[in-house]
Amino acid sequence: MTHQDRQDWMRLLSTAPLDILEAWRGTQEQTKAPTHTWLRRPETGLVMVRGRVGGTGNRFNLGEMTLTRCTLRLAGGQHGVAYVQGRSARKAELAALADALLQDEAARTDVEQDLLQPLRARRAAEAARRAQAARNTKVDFLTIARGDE
Amino acid sequence: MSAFDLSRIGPGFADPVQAAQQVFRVGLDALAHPGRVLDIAANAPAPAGVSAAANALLLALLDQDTTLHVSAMLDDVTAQHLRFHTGCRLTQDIAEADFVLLATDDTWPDFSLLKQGSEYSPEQSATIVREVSSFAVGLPLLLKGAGIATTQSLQCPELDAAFVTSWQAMRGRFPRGIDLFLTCGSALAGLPRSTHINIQAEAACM
Repeated sequence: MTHQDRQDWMRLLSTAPLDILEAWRGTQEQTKAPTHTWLRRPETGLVMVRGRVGGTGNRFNLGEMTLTRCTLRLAGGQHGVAYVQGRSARKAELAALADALLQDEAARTDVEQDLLQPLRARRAAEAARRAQAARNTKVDFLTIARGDE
Repeated sequence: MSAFDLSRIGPGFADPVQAAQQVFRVGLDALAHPGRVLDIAANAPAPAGVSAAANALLLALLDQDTTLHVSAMLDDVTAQHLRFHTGCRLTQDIAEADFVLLATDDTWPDFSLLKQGSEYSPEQSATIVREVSSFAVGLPLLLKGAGIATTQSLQCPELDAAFVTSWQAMRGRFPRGIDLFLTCGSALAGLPRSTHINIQAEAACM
């Protein structure tokens, strides 16, 4: 697991819809559902989202967004951290659980297949839908040669 | 400071809102009745070397607007634990700390080095949370002042004659000064800056 890998799945989990997370939780057999203790229970707050003009310019405050975060510890010693969009404590809990399991070599393949793949597919579909919606409004400018020249 | 390591951090309050309010209330009572030893019921697992009372009190009082100085006698985990749960800022410089956590083995710092507040804003001063080894032995002290009807006695091995002298010197700067919490296990006593501390007469004669 590299830093980049974890960044990737954190990004996916941060915007994951609850139904996909719950569906993943449902696929886990009772034995595979690990027990966890809370280091920090889910708490909701505001964070300032900052951006850079063109990705390189000066930082500016884009606006505040609602975020829920939590930290938990599995019986096996892995730590799961979640920072998810919105106010759902359950989303944060499941995302943190996924983060913890993804750091566990033995469990990663299953989580990758049962959770991250559907999330990636959803993300790709959403990107395609947006691209299509944008394409539908595309205007091609063309100049018809005038005959008098 | 070492890298942040989640595996060494313990959980905070099981019910943060309720527990923090209960602990805050005990803290208020302790300052309202100087020298009275109270019990903090709300509990959170404390880092090694830190009493349950000090841990609970700091979890309840600290937030992202406060700075904390943790004694070098205590493990680095203590500072990380409190920072993780409260978002407080940590400082190595005792002079800029709003809260100072001292271990049982610490010597008393020079009170005049800590934040004293100003004549206009005496509340902008430091609060010391000090671990003590007992409330049953030590130099018998006699407390007077606001919140005490007649007199109140208090004893701790860490409250020695030198402490009394520097406390009396600090009293000269009133309303500037510092406030003090003493903690031992789940027990807590408060000494606000308004309290007069003297050594009990019979003890002084010995």
